[in-house]
Amino acid sequence: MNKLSSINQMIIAGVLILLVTVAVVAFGIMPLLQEASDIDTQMAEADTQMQTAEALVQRRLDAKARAAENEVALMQIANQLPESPELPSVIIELQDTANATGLDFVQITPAPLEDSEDGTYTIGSLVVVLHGEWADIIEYTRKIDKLSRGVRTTLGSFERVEETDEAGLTTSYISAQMTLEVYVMGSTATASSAQ
Amino acid sequence: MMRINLLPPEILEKRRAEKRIIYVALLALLVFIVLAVVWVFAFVRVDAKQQDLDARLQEIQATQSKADMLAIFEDKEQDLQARQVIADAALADRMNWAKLFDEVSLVMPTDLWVTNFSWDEATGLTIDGYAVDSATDSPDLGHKSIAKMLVRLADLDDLYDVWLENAVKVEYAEQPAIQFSSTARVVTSTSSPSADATTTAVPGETSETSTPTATTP
Repeated sequence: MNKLSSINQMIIAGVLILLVTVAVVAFGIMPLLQEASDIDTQMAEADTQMQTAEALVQRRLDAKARAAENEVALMQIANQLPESPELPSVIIELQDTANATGLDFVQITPAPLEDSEDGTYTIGSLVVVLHGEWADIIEYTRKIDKLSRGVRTTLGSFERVEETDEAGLTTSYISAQMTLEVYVMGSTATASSAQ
Repeated sequence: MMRINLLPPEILEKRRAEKRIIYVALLALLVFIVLAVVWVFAFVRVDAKQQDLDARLQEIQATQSKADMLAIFEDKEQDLQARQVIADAALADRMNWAKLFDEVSLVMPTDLWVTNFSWDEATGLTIDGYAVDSATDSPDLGHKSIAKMLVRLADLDDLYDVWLENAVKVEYAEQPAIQFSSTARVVTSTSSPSADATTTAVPGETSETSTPTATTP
């Protein structure tokens, strides 16, 4: 049997050590380094996520800080454009305004509700007839623009009417017929707030 | 003095081989130690990073939970903004009629009176009335009070295309008078002299043709 020379034995031992080293590096150390690199990548992503989450929290904290102010604004809008026609409150406001300006609130004729062009709100038209003096009617139009309920005067007419009483005295007043629009918040906005 | 080794060469070679085996074994041990140290270092590093990552993920989760708890405030704000847009759209361009009526009252000449005053956001004002036509004035002032009214109405910022539809001498309560009817359009964001000049060209109703009428006595 041929016995290996000591030089060959050294060479084989060296090769074996090299192979074992390569194997340990390839299967033991490199996966760990790869894993470390993967964790670094995940850490960078986590940092980004953290920044996004912190920015989100800050934004929502800012919204929380404005909550009271927003609530007031929501109430104002709810008064301007309620979610239902609330015709009784409109009538009361118009009557109060007529009383405050010294006008006789003779007639109110509401028309059926109509959707706006984009469907985000509904329009209710009211034809009102008032009797009184010119200056009072101007005051009335000024006051209805300032009502908490959003009212728009779209058209109207003023006509001087003369009346002669039984004693033969002629008096005159202005008959004002105005078409007012009031608005109702559409179902889209109502649905979004319910969510 | 000369040193003489009497051992046979095979034995000498064997001893050298044994020494080399020890060196190789030491080298193998050294390599093993180095590899072990590197592996342990890498393992510890990975473990530390993993713990950091886990802690960071927990932190993200906690922050996200906090954000979720605060979501209602942002939802409310978005709802407010959506409603504000709708309210603005519904109430946009409301005409301040009271101001316009006040101004018309102020500029209307005292020698005429209005019997019918109608208005519409789309078509503007229509003013019907009478002007005093004195039977004794000389030279006859005639329709000049109507012209004065047209000039004054045309000077109002909220009106344009002031136009006279008709003016005719009539009897009013057995007195000579001039019955007139005039129109004017109202300036809004969608309706103004400059906007209409580019969109409409109705003779007698454009700003180009109305201006001379409104300013000519």
